Amino acid sequence: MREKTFLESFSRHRLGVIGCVGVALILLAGVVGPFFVPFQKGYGEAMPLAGPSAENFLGTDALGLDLFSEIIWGARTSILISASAVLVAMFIGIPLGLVSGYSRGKIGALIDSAIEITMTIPTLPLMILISALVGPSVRTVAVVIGVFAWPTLARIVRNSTLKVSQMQYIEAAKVLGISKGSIMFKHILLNIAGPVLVDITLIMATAVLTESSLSYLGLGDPNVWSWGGILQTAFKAGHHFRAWWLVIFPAASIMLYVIFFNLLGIGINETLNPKSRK
Amino acid sequence: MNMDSMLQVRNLKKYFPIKGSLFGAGPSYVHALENVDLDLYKGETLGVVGESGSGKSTLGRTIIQLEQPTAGKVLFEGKDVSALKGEELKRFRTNIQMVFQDPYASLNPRLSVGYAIAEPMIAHKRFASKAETKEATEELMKKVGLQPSMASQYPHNFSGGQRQRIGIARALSLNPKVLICDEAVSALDVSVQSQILNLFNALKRELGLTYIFIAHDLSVVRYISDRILVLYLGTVMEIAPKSRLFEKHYHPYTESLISASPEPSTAKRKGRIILSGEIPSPINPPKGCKFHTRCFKCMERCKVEEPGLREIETGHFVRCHLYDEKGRN
Amino acid sequence: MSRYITLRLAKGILTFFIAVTITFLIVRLMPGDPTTALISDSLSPEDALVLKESFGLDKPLYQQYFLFIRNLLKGDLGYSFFYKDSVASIIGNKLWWTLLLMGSSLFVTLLIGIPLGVISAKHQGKLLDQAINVAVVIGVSIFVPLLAFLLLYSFSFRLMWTPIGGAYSPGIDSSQMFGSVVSHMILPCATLVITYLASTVLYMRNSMLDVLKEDYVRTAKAKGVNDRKVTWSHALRNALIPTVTVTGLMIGKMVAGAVLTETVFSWPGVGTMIYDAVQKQDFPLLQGAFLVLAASVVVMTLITDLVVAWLDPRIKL
Repeated sequence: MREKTFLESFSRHRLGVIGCVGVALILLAGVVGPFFVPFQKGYGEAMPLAGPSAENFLGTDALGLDLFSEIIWGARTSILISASAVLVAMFIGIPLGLVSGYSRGKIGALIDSAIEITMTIPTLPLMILISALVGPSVRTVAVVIGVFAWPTLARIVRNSTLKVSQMQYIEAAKVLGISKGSIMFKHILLNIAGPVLVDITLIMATAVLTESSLSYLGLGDPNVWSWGGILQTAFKAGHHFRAWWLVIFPAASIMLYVIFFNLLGIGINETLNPKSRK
Repeated sequence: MNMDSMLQVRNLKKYFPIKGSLFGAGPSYVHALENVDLDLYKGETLGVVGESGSGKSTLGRTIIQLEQPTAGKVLFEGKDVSALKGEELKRFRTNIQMVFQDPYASLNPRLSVGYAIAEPMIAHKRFASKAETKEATEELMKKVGLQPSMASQYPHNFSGGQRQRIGIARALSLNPKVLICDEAVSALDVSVQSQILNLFNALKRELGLTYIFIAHDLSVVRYISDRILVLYLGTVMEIAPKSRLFEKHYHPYTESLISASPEPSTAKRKGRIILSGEIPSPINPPKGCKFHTRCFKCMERCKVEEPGLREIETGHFVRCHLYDEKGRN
Repeated sequence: MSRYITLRLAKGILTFFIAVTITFLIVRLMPGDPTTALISDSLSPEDALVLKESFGLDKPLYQQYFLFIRNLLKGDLGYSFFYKDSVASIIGNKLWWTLLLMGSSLFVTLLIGIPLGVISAKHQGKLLDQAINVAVVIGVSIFVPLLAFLLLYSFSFRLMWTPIGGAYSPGIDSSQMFGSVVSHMILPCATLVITYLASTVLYMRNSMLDVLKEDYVRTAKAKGVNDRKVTWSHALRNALIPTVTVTGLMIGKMVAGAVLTETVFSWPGVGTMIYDAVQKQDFPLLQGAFLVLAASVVVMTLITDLVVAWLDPRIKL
């Protein structure tokens, strides 16, 4: 009997498939969408603060700009920032997690404490301080989010590494004189790709929540559209009670982005470890 | 003996600390190896037998430097290798290699078997070019009875026996002089076992290898070994050339092992000796002779005084008070 | 003091010390002149000079660091450009409101979440499992300002059951104060409880399921101890240990939720202050806010550690 492939098992996970389709749609909207929808700037020709209509089917903002276009461009910003944050988190979290899980001893203990301490520190106020000091930009926000997202990734890499390094093939590699670097970054990393992938989808989700929170607090890049930024503008001007669409559509975009990535992560996780259903 | 001893183990001791419990009585240790001495001669196959918990795997792992000895030495070609580090350790690795017990766990599921065999050669820079490495990989695969065309496949496509052949090819990739086989066939079906054992014998002849063959199965050890070492609770009980050991064994433990092993060829089976009780815990090994708690010839003296390892006949060593007189001859 | 408390205390102090060091380095190693970050342009040149000296910005980095620590130990967090007041006294007035909000939310979350977790562990079933899983996904996906806004819009604007914002109605006397604060706190508190409840229920349920499988619970049942009693006394205490531990880890995240919630409800705490400080580019205030929140989290984590120690018979206090 042939073993079921990952994709076959995954396709039976209903929530996972929903997440996967949702993520695909968001990626489509954010990557391809901006080529078809104009970037909104200056003053729009439409009526300001007009509700959804055939012309502007998500309504317009206080400057008469089309909310739908803003949301599409906002998707691009969210993807850009969360993906860059993931890269930063991987760059820090994976090596530290591997080293702490594989070489235990003093360095391992040191990294463990660093993980624990970074997880205790309330990161949002710190990110606010840094973004305010450096000045809000897409790059700042992405780096700051990534720099504080590494501990969860490092912890997952560490725990998976602890498990994998007990395997006989790791001992075999040691006996064969394979270098520590190759053992960690090839032998172990290849075998923990699953949990790493799951955590990456979760970081994609939380990164967008954090990015939106920073933008909502007025620390988003003023030169790009972001969902949190649209909310911030509406709240600051007090339009949020009059023009519900300025709150609901950007906020719904944020939550759908987060939910879809979370569902995708859950789907992958439960396909990889059928027993560990939480 | 006039043969060259290429590997010497002297007074080798390995204790594993156990984490103290919350109600902490002082630290305790698993006494895995107690003052093990052995010589390995060039070209021979030394079988190591013992029950699980006898320390036989630890012996192999300590010789190959997967474990640091608590005390004692491992000398390879006259050089102490038990404290090697870095480049020196890496160089030492090319001399002694290991074939692991579980062919399912000892191959990385995410690496192709060709890469698994080639990787050590790349790590040790055995060849200058990729083509040479590839050629050597194919050569090794042929040598262990695998088709070189399968190099790009992953371990899950192979049977247990085939995987063990891959493990052997990988161990041979560094051209080692000594191969330690740690229960290398015990996870395999009986029919496959004999194929792999024959492969070991063929490779030994072809490459002039020296083996340490660790197993709990006496019939396997009997088939392949030139000499046999009997280990009990980390202590060497008897060492003898195979032919002699099966004819005349001195230690009651060896006697019980041999009587318990199924032996279709010899009709002269005496009554089976069934040992009472379980092997004692290596955390609190018995005082005196380690075996006295289960020995059917136990004397008062055995409970207090540990016997020494004595050469009773040429090349035949026994650790038992029964032969103290003869030992003095 | 026992080893456990000493260790936890040392870890707490180390955590705060690291937070302090990060802050110090960020402000000084960022591109650009740290003076502009610490001293506003709107200050008079004389005031700016005084400030510059008080930060020791003309001295080498390590001396600045010692000065920074010394000032912190004296309770000096710097000077706010916007409020023209010391950061410590401004935050001192706001911190209690934030702690009140966070403390009550945490209390309510545990008060509802623990029994719900136990009950859901007793009634296992596919439907309930699914419901909890979905609730957890939604819980971790909540964008706090949206939830806060929806609550504010429905209950304060549409239904007019609750006050619109702030922490108490202006111009009331002290006898009415308590009721006023409670009515103002309902919605902000509800926002945080809704956000964090699902994970608490999940943790409680999972640890309860683990504990119910343990030998001593089965032994107690076999001995004929009443099923209710087994659940609520024998098992609960042990199941609480991991839940409280996780709650301790949640506090750091809860600060983020509290900051965002406060801004929507104009709650007069540190969160709303941070929002204003961002708009006013008041860096010393932002720095002070982070340090104080970090210290609060460290203290709250220590408290949960002590609760764990009290619950866990293996740890001697």
